[in-house]
Amino acid sequence: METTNDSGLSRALSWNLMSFGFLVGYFVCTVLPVPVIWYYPVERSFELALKPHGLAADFYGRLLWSGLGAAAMAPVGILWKRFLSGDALKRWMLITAAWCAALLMLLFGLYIHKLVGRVPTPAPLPSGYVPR
Amino acid sequence: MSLASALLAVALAAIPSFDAIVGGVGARPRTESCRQMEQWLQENPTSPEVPRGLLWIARLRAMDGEAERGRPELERVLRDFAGTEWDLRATKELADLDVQERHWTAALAGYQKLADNPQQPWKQIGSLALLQVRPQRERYFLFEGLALALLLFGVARLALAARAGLTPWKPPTEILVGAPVIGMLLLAALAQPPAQAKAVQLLALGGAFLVWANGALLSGARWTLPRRILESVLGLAQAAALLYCAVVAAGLWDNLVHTMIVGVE
Repeated sequence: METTNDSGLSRALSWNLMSFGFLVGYFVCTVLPVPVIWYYPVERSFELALKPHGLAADFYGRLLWSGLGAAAMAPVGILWKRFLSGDALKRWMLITAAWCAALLMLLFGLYIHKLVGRVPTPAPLPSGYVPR
Repeated sequence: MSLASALLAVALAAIPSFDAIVGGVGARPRTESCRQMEQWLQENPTSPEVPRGLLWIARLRAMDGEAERGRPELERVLRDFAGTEWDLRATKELADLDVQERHWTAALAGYQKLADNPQQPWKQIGSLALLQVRPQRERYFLFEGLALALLLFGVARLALAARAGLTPWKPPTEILVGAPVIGMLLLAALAQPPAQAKAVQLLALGGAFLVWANGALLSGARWTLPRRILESVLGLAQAAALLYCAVVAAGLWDNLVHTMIVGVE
């Protein structure tokens, strides 16, 4: 029989696994050459591509990958917590929390490494632009 | 003219000239170029271009990532053209190949032969190569020693855990906590150039083994202050040794030194 404490731990385990899936999604689409949805703010359009052809933001595309990762892990959490209770549940809740913390640190390090040496280059001026 | 001699004349006419084979290397697969050159060498065994052709085949094989397949040609140049300029060229190529294959004694002997030659630039090439390859050999020996020490250390810890009545075959909490990071590192290695990928894979897998071995033994440890200090020092030493092994085994030592001196750019 599930206690109130177990119920809280079960929810925490599910959220941990969803967060873990979210972080894995973000990590995978950063380190592997997977197509991402790019938003072009000048043209106000979206495109699914490996690399953009102009000024574009990848944030929404990466967020979508992360969301897919979280969605994939949600059923895992729901199923897994059915088989755990008491100390085992508490142990796995802590371990999955550590997974999230470790992966978050890894992602921070990865993005610092990616951004620290970046020199932004301005996008070309639109054709027909006349300076005033 | 008999039929046989007519056929021979047709066959000889079908073999392109030396210059045509060398000049057309970009227009055909390298294996085909090698085949044509081998055929030319068979038909022209006394030509002065033979050593050039043999070296050319060895270089093409190296460009295809099959440098070892070019060894017979290089050895033939050494054997048949000893004491000539071609001998020195083949010696250099063979010594480079021996470095790749980690045949240190043979490589150093080859470079020493060049360094002993009074003729420039061979003397300089040999001397510079000796300066570079000797420390490379020492690094490799150190890597082998450290890798063996880490392996024995890990196995000894697992054995001690088993002797203490613990369960070393059961994944300790440390490995369960670190598993996703290890998995992500292995995943990230897939998109890296081969040398970097090898280094990351070695770090991830070697790290997993050491974490497992340490975790298996230390889960049942009685923690005192000296023990904490000792294990911290051992942990740092293992991490440093593993990093060194990964960098040397992947052939990234020179890149690392260059990056530290010149910077990332």
